[in-house]
Parts: sequence; structure tokens; C-alpha cells
Amino acid sequence: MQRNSIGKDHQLTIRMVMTGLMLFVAYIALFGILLISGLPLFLVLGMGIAMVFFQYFMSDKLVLKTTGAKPVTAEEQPKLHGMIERLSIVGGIPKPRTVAIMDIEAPNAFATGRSPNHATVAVTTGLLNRLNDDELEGVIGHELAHIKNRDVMVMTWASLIVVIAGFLMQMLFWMSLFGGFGGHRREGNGGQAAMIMMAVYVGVIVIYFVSQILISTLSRYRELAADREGAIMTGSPSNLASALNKISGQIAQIPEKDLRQVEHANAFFIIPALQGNAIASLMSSHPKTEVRIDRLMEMQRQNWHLLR
Amino acid sequence: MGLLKSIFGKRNKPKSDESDILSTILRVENLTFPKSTEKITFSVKSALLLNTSDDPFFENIDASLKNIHPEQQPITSKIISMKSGEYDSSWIVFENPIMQKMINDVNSVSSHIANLGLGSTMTAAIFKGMAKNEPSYWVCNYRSAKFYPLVPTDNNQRDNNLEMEIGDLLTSKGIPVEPHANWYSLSDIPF
Repeated sequence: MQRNSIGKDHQLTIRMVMTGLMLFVAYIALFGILLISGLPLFLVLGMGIAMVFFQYFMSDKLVLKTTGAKPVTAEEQPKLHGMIERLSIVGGIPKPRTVAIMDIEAPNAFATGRSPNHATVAVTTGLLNRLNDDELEGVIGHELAHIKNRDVMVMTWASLIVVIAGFLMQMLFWMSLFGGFGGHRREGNGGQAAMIMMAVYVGVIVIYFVSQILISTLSRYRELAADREGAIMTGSPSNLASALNKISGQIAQIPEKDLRQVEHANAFFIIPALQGNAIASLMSSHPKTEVRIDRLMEMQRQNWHLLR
Repeated sequence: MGLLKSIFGKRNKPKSDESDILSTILRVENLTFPKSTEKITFSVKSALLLNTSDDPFFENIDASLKNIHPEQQPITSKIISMKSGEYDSSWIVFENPIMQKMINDVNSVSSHIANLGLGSTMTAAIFKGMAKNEPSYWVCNYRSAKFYPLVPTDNNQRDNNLEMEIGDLLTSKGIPVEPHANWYSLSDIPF
């Protein structure tokens, strides 16, 4: 009983479901608009689905190509392969088919692939150089949790609405530019048609931006869920918290100055809190690092690992 | 009313509800880090860091401290003071094999200095210990009433990774911890 309450975050699940429901409403609204507008519904849907299918099935190859990540064998990277294999067993998923390294100084990692059987995990050389084994394990656990939770599939299909709405926006933009939504026609009810098309255009734009926000919100929740699942795999939430601290540059915030230098300069230490940009955080695909670290450290405080 | 509140009055309100902030550090004694068996231990020494002023107190700190006679419990720590070669500051070093008694004495001396009207000269209390077999310090900033870890290494460097781990441990025990951006160094801790 206790394990369930610790292994799952019901609040997070409820938030994800609510976001999913709102996305569903956005889908319904978009289809409604498509029907009203008289635009070729099946053509638009078909193109959107074809694009998402392509992305879904080719994601691992596309990402490897665009990031320049090079697959490495177990002989080349025995420690990394061993870590991924061990955590995959703990997580109850097959070992990812491809393990890759990007020769990039910035510490980062990603997981991709349409299913656990077609998964790829890639890390940068910057990540391998900066993190100790425990922290690297924390990051790998997080990436494997993305695979286990099928986040590539969830996010790819969730973003179908943005693909369709984006496609419609472009179509309507060009229609308005060259056809004036039919408003130039003097005969019949050309003016009325133009008004309807203008309303459709505005509606599609609204749905596009609302969907973007909802998908970014869903993505942030999936990240938090992957943090949690990854922490359960490794048995130590503080490993990922420590890695996030390093990756996000919090260590870089630690000053080199002597305390007394600052005392003389400013006796009261009035440090303005950094105000995040509200719009930027709405559209961000990842939660704030502080939020993620706080949640992981809260898990650590619960001594939940004793219940595994 | 907590010590730090009495020292700084309305100017610096400690954000913690602890009546004795310094004693909260005892919560980490004998704790171990995740995946580690080495316990955190404290050394027998601690210190109070002061910014020296023109006040006569600073002309002979040791003599001034002999006048302290706390009502509740006598001072049991060996106390010596020394001038810092840097930043016009002074150290008052405490030595006591019993950590809680040493903390009580740091509190008593701090209260005494505050009662002399010199509360604003006190910068921090510093405790030493071993964390993961590394000599480490726990600094309590008197301005913010919060702790932060300090792990100096060779060549005036610091082990930021271990500091982060200690910081996480302090936080996990509910000890008020400074934001990372305030984890300032201290170059000449005399113990």
C-alpha cells in the first residue's frame, strides 16, 4: 500500500489526464472548425497523420542523423553499456537497441524510438566527462524511464494537432493572400464566406497556440514522471538531483569570493529573486530544474527506497 | 527569541522558526550519504568570525571574553581569539569535545557580543567535521541565519560536488540552507 503511494504520483497523473482532456477538447474544436469551413477535411487530416507517422517511425534515425550521435558498441563503452543494461533490467524493459555518443561539450542526453524494442539512448561526451557514475546512472535512469513510459509515442501523437493546425494556418494564410477568402467576389454571398473563413483562420490560430501550451505542459509532466520513474530504477533520487545541479550549472553559481568581501560590499545580502519569464515557462518543454530537484529531494527525504 | 534575532533585531529576520539555529547542525551528526558508509563527524573545534571595528572589545578580545558568565550554564570550551591577516577580521576559536556544549558556548559568546552592541560585527559561525573522509566546514551565515557547506581542497580550490551533496543532506534534514549563489569561500579558517 505504502509502496503504491510512493511509487506513483497521483497528483501528477491527474494533471496529465486533465491536460490530455483539454487536448481532446482542442481536437474536437479543430475538427468542428474544419467541418464548418468546408476545407478538405480528409486531405488535411491525411497529410497531418502521414507527417506524424513518418516522424514516429523514423524518429530514432532522424535524431541520430541531426545530432551527429554515433552508435557505440559494448566493447567501446563497456561502462555505459553495462549501466544501461542493468537499469533496463531493473526497469523491466529490453536494453535499448542503440547506445550512442555525441561529441559535444555540453552535458546532455536523450532517448528516442517508437517503442522499447526500437529505442536509442544517446549521451554527450560532456555528460560523460562531468558526471560521476552515480549521477550518470541518474540521467540514464531518467532516459530509460522515457522509453518505458513510451513518451516518444505519447508526445508524437499528442503533437498531431499542432501539425494539423500549423498546416491549416499556412493553407489559410496563402488562401487569404491570393484568394482574399473569396471576399473579392461580387456575386453571391462572397462577403459572408470571407467572414466565415476569417473566423476559421482566427480559430485555427487560437487552437494552434493553445495546443502548443497544452503539449508543452504535458511534456513537462512527462519529464517529472520520468524523473520519478528513473529515481525508482536507480534507487537514489539524489543521483539525478545531483546531476541536474551540475547540468543546469548550479555548481557554477557557487561563488569564489570570500564571505568577508561580500560583507563589506553589502551588509544585508539583499539578493533579488530571479523572476522567470511567465510566457517562456508556459511554452517550455521541461519543468524548471529547481522544481525537478525539489521533487527528487522530497522523494529522497521520504526514505522511499527502503520500500522497494 | 532566537539568538540571531536578538542580535540583529528587525534588520535581519531569520526565516527559520528554529530558536537555536546553530544546534540544527547536530542533525547531520553520524549520518551517512546515500551509498556511503562513512558517517559525518564533527571536530572538537568551531569558530566565530567577526569583522573588526574600532571598538575597545577588539583591542583584547580574550580579556573581554573572560567577563562572560552566562546565567544558565558556564562556558566549558577553551576559547582563544586571533586576528585574521585578511579582510580586517578576527576569529574566536572554540574547543570542546562535546559538540552541544561547544554550540552553547558559541551562542553565549555571540549573545555577549550582541549585548555589547556589536552584533553587526559577527559574520558567521563555522563548524568543522569530516564528510566522506574529507575535512569539511559548515558555515552559518549570521546575516541570513542559514548554513552552507564549504569543502576546501588544495591550491585554494573547493570540492563543489561534495558541497552539493552536503547541501542536499542539510536540506533533507530541514536545516536552513543558503542558496548556492551565497556559498562564499573563507580563505583562512584557523582550524
